[in-house]
Amino acid sequence: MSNIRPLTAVLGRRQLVAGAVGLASGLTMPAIAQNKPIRMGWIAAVSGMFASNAQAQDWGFRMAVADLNEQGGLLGRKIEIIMRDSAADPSKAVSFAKELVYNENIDVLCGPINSGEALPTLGIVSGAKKLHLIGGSVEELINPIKYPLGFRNLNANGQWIKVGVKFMVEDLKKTRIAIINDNTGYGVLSRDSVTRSLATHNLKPVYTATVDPNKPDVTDELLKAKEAGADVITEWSNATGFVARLVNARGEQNWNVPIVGHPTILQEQVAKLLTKRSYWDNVYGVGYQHEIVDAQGKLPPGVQAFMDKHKDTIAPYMAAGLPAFLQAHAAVTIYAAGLTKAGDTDPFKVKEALESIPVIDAPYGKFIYTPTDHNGFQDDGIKLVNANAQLPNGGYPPVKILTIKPGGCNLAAGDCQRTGAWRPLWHDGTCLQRDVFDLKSAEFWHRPVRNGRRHLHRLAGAGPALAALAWVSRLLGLGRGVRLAQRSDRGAAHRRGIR
Amino acid sequence: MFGWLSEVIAVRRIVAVSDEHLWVLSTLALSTMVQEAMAIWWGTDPTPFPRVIPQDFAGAFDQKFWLPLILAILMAVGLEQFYRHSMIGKLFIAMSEDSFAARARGVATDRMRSLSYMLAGTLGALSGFAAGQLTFADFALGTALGLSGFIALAVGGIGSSVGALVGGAILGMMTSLTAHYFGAEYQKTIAIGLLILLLVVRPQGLFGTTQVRQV
Repeated sequence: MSNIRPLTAVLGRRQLVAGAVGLASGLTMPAIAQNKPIRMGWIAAVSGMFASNAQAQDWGFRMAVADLNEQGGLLGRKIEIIMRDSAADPSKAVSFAKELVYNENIDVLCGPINSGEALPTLGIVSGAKKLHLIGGSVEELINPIKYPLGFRNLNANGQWIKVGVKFMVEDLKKTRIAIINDNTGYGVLSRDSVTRSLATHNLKPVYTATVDPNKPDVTDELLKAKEAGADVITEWSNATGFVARLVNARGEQNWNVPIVGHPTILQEQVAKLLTKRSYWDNVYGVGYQHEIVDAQGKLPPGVQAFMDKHKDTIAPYMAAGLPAFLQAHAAVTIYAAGLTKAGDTDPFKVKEALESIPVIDAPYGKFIYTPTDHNGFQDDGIKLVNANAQLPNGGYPPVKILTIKPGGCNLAAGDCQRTGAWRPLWHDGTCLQRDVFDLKSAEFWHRPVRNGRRHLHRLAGAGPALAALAWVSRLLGLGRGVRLAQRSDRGAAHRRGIR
Repeated sequence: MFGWLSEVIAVRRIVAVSDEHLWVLSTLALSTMVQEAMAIWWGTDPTPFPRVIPQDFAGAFDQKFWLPLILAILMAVGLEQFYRHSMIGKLFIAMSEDSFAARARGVATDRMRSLSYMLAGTLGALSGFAAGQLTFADFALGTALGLSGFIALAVGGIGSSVGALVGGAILGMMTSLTAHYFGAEYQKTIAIGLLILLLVVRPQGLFGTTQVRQV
């Protein structure tokens, strides 16, 4: 007879049944967790003050998640979005952040997508030990010691300023810089940041003005900048009305000094407020590498592929610009990269994974996170673009700055023909004086043959003589027609990338 | 039309049932609702305002600079003439001084009130047309301009159109000078602080008169 007793005799029938149920449920728990969707919390102000930008971001976020789900999700699990509209109200953002991290049991929180709303949510998300992808540009939002699970999914404001200042000093070769900003907290902080950034180039602003963004006219500030000898103006404001008034005032003063500034200056909304669209010509705003097209007018491959894939639904969001929806797309891409490497939704494991990935290459740009730096976005992803050069696909051609050196011309003959700015007739080996270009060039390029002034082109080789002729004619008031043509064609000149 | 509507919606009923100044709150509530509605329908970005008079040049003689000035002067002079020389204007003054007494003397105060709101709406619309080229059409403009208007009125003296003009000019000068010497961060604080000081010294405003009521 066997000594083995049946289990029922040892445990009793009820205990056995309970044990079997327990074992079965224990075995199936990981399976259930494996099938449970990944829950991404998403706070965006799709109504209220920043609605148009937030709606584009919301679209980008949803499309990025849809693309991932189409490929099978992450770690074999579908992704679920739990979205809340904060309506640009920080108190709502705080309530929704609490709800999402404590009640909705999300795996990651993306947003809020502006700094004012994001700042008060930092402590809440950090306290709940949830991964947080932060969509604001203010420097204070990122602190790996205080908020170890917080990562920024766009550039910081300081990066815009750093790159903008570098553009003015190194590319435009300007040294007499006037700063005009609005009197909001953002404007004043940016002014100080620009001043600090200029100091790294051993420069000081020649003029600084902090202006009420509702001030109906800024001609006064502009004239003072002119008197101070400014050769470039940098503006830092996100108020479209204020920015448009500044550009209008410069245009009305016929002072064709470049304006370099905040991305707001690139918005079509600003162009609509301009007295003449040509006032937008010599205006440069902070843009991104992902907006720069190649010689065929194509956007970078990742961006183009995303836009092509969603071409049926993208139209309403194009007005907000590519950075809007690509920024939200980046939040999803960054989380997906971290989660895939970590292989687990545990926020600390995802954090470590994000800090160890060499480069996360999102359509928005490249992100590199380290244990001591959770900003991620790289400076080379920021590019200055010419406001009036936007293409129908939302991209911009690269800014091409051509300098006509005294006694020499740095254009290759091929460049002359391709851009159409310089006629081959002109570029026959002779070179222009800078003064001649400044005074007369537009007239020469535009109607070289039709108005029978071919001989003037030949004169172009004799730069100093032509300069003298131009000055004399201007003094005698004979050059009115030329000046008019020059004025009317100056915009065309800048569109062709020539200062 | 909208002036009349706001009187009907936010003032008439409240004035009929309450002697308090609750209509101030109800008009404020209505203006907030209208502002929000504008933001929803037309968006929060400023929109361009067309030229009132066709013009193809820009510069110091641009209509956007002189049009608001000329219109403000014309409106101030017109209002003074209206108050002094027309029967309805005199009734307005009578009502503003004592509406109960005016009603006792047979003035149709409800109708006069409606007319005053219609006049206010017309003047507001004209001002909007004159200033729109400078300020653009912005849903949030009312708050900023309204505050400036109240300050100008208080400085000039309530009830005096010329006083309001002078008050506006003083406010503008003070704001600009403050921005120039101290920076625009402080312009509102210092400008409004100085205005409060002025009002403490002369509460009736520069052109206002102290009303003596016989008892």
